[in-house]
Amino acid sequence: MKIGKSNFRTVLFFTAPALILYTLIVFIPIVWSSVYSLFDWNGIGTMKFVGLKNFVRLFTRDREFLPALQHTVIYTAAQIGLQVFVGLALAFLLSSLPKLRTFFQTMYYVPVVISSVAICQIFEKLMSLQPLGLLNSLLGAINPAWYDIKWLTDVNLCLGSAAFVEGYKYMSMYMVIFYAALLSVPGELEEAAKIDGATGFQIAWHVKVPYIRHVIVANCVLVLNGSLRAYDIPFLLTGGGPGNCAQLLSPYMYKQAFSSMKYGYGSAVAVMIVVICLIFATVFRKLFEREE
Amino acid sequence: MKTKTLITAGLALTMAAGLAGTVSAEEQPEKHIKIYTNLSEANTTYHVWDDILKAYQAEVNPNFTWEVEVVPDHDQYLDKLKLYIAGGNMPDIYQIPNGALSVQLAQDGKMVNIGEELKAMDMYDAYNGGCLDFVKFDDGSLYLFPDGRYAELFWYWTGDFEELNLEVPRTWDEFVNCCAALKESGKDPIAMAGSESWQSLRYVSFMPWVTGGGEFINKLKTGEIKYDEDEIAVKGTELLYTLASNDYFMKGYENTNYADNINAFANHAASISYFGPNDLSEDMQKAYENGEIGFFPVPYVDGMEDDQMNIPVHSGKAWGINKDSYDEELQRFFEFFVKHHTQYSMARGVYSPLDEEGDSSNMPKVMMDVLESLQKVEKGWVSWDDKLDPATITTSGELGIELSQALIDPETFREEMDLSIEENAAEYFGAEE
Repeated sequence: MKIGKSNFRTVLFFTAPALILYTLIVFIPIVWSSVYSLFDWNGIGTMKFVGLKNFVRLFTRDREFLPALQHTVIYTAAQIGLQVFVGLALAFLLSSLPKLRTFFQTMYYVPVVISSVAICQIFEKLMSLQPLGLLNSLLGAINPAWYDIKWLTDVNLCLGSAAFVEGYKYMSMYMVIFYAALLSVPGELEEAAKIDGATGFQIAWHVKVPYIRHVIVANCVLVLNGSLRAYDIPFLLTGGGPGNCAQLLSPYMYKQAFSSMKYGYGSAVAVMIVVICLIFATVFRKLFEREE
Repeated sequence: MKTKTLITAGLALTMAAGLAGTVSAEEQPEKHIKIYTNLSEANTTYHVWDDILKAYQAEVNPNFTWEVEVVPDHDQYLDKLKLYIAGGNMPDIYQIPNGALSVQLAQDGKMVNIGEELKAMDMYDAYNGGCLDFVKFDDGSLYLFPDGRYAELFWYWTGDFEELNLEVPRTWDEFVNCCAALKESGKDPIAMAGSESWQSLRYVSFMPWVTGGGEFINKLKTGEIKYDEDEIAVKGTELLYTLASNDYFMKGYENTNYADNINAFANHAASISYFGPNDLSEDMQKAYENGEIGFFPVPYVDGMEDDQMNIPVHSGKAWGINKDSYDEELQRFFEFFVKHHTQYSMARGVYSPLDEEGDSSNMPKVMMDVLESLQKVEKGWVSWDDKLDPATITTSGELGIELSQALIDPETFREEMDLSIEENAAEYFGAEE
């Protein structure tokens, strides 16, 4: 489509505020961090230029970066499963309700609007061992050995626990998006399938899901982008976990920059997070564009 | 980040104080200060500060106002303080541990020389030697002032010990044997705040401290010695591992914070715990008076003479004053604070860092009993969690937690500590050498 001169001005007028905001709060900080990543700086003394030394160290001597990347990938996969696919399942359930849809939609949406700190406080108490939390109290009534499950401090469980809590918080946001998408599926497609003898599951799987495929892909990209940069819930719930078993990239960047006071090195980690996000998002989109 | 910024009633009270007519508001300079603190309203010392601030406003300068920013979590507090430092936006008065960070700020000329100020107001010698020792830098200079006088002790349920005919342990071997006996009888021996790194590091540092004070950590932090070169320090790491691997810590300690730890002990979830007398609730104070709980100091290492002071005394998280905002009015407030610190501390039933007499009628029996021992202390506690360079502090905290859960062995702890110091210490301590 060709944009004429006057149309271009109109386009610029409407996109300029968003572009300016994006430049100020996203693009410039990325560039600024990239500059800092070339320096050694503890936040108090003078900055010392070291070139690519921080990046070299990241890939050759840092024993925490690659495990943090691995944990982040696992965490992201869990979020896609929980937020996108469980969200989709909830949307189907919601759309099948004959009554009280608005009520259930609102109730499911409540965790999305509660702050992450509050959610973490709630789950910390639910999963607590000392004093015994509700979760282990209930599980222990079934099997006494389950009284002692260490959801937040067991090296095999804490990453999964943090992933569950984050998934729980945000799955309803995608449920609402999918619900709206499902409502847009033309009724005649469903009727035609029913006439052909399709079951409810077959209608959902072969008619509705393909129809809203582009929404599923878009949501996957959103979750992918958010989860690769996940910080608040894993940090607040586990603090990285014992032996950094639940350490993700963003909390690791925070630890290097602000706790260890290595702002240059932390900036190098931040730059790598941006690069990794770009790579994952690009590969994901190319994969689905090629299929289409 | 759990942050609470309070614009205190001091602002609203300005008018009332002016109207009260104690001091004429027109004659006094306007001064607004920002206080950044780790203390919350749950801490008694927070109220001591509040009392003194309000008293200064009422008695000296009605135009003196303040705002208080509170971050109760220790690690998050430090992270935000580092942000303030990096941003060149320091609060006027702030808490800061005695360590690499405060030394560097002092070297950069950003902190008031408290030692000189105290000498000028003739109050230097009024302070308890141990309290001042805790906040002095290695070269003896004083750029920090004490928050209070705190002791840390082991507390125990006397009934548990009497039931098993156990004596209060004098040495660490006896301590471990007590834990073994308690565990065998079905009790959880020790309540510990396993999620707070400084608690784990206490157990690692007890032995080197009780034998040599700060000698080991001051040499280790710069890489002057390796960890394994100090036999007692090695035993310290083995102590924590022994306690962890034998399950002597209470169930669920891995995720317990300090407050929950004390509550767990108060609820008799464990027989022994380590905290300060300031943290005893009223019920626990009564339990002490009834003989149900008791205390004992840090055990000695086998073979050492037991005439040395072994109660860790410290001044809490020290305070620093921003040199850029230290004008005549702030100086006047600071003098008022120092000269009234004992009065308002005792009114709240907590120890003052000054060796002054005061009205101790508000102090519970247990605090008086502990105070008797504290008067003799001249050497302060040496806290590891702020002596090392920032990167090693972070690493040591993580390693301490892992060791306290027996996820790593003592050898790994020591090797990783040496590695971190090798990588990071020179940058922070090289300039001092």
